[in-house]
Amino acid sequence: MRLNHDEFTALLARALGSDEKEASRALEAWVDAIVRETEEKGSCDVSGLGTFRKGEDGAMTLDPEKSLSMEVNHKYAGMSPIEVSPPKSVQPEAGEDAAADAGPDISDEQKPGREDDAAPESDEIPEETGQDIPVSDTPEERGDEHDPFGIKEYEKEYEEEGFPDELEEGPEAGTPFEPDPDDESLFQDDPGGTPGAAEEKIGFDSEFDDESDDEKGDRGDPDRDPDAEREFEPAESDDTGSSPRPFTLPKLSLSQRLKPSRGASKNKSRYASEKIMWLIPIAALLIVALLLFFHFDGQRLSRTHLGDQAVVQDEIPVPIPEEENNEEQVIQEYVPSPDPVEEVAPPPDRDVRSEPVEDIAAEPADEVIRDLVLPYGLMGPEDEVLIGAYSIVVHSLRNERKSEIEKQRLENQGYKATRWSTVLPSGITTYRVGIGQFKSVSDAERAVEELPEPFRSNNFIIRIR
Amino acid sequence: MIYMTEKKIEKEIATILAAHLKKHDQVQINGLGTFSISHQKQEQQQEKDGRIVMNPPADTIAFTPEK
Repeated sequence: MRLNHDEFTALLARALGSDEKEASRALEAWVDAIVRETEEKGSCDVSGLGTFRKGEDGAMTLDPEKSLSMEVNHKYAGMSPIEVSPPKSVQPEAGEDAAADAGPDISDEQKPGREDDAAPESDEIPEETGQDIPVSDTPEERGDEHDPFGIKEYEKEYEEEGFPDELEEGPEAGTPFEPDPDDESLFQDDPGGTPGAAEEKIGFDSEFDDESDDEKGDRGDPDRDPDAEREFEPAESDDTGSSPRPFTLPKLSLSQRLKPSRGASKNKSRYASEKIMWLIPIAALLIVALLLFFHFDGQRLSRTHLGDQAVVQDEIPVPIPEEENNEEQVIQEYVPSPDPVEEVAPPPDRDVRSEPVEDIAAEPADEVIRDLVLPYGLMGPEDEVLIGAYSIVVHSLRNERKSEIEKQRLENQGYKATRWSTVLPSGITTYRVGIGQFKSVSDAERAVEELPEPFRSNNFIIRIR
Repeated sequence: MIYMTEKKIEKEIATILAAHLKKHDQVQINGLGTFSISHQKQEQQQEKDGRIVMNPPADTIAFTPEK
């Protein structure tokens, strides 16, 4: 609405209780006083309006009072910038996370070996077991065979040390081993002379190390076959009548405790370790599936009916001086005309749910599925309010009844209309009506282009929380 | 008495002017200029740290002095 000088004079005359001539003279006197004082002093303060200043080019400028500015900007009161994309430095990187989460037992020499692992599971699971199974896991020490969990190395070490007698209950336990002196292959590999075999003991506790030292003493005997010891240590112990080695169960790894029959059978132990290697990824997949399920379920909110409130993210408490608070001041600016809306209304068979999804191929599969399920879009019924989604606010009213009327009007035009209330710090409740729910700001901006006037030029995008 | 009258007139003028500006009306006063409401659309802005934020829209008072 435009108010010219004559209309303003008439309003002033009515307010002063005088005729228009007197009001006009009073208004001219007020204007002359302001212009004169501004030119003489450089500024003129007008209570309730602001400060007139003389600009560098000689033209007058106005610095409105803060309270008046807030009243004028009441629709967007308390709004703060919303973050569209996080800073690049904050974006997590898998390598950094893995390095940060690495346990203290992992030495610098071991880290490059970890980075070479292609599968992400190989970075995570050893960390969990790293405190109990601190083995050296560089590729050179592990050999060519890929063993991301370090189980085979651990088995090798355990077999090298020998199983405790109480665990050797298999049918082979009582069978003594007599190495074939003609078999030279048994003497080719000396575990004591292999650097990797020595380093495998790193990380065991002192008790275990002491036992290993004893073992080393035994290995110093040239008459004994090292490989035979490693493979058939229990049988030889029974043969010589020596007491069982003081192994204790708490020092065994999970894979060793779960060895199937304790029969000192290498095949059986490997079978058990392979089972565990299958069980761990399956358990990890189950956990991931559960997390995805709860995350997906948490994105939804049951439909909010009248009176329900959705808190808007960027409603930050800002003190707003309210001198007049009555329903007459409710500003209804955007009265939509039904005609242009009908022009832009999509056909009835339009699939609004697939509207915001454009780059499906570039998105992960779970996100695509979620987007197809969630009721994003500009048009259609308001099945549910998606927390975290973006909406285009087209009305910001202080009159609840008017806001509901506008919401109903938008729904009748086919829009996915949402209404919520926001309580400002001053205690005033503002009712906002938004249309559409979108996954991203860019989706909402594209939808704005489809809106008719005055919505297309007078709106703001907000995030529902 | 005259001073109080001037103050009252000044207060009434400011009250009427502010009331119409709150309604986003445009007000023209001869010899002074035109008061109007300027609407700033929301816009995206990239911060120094790479973060992209969307600034909210705003309605501000604009004053165009009379030449």
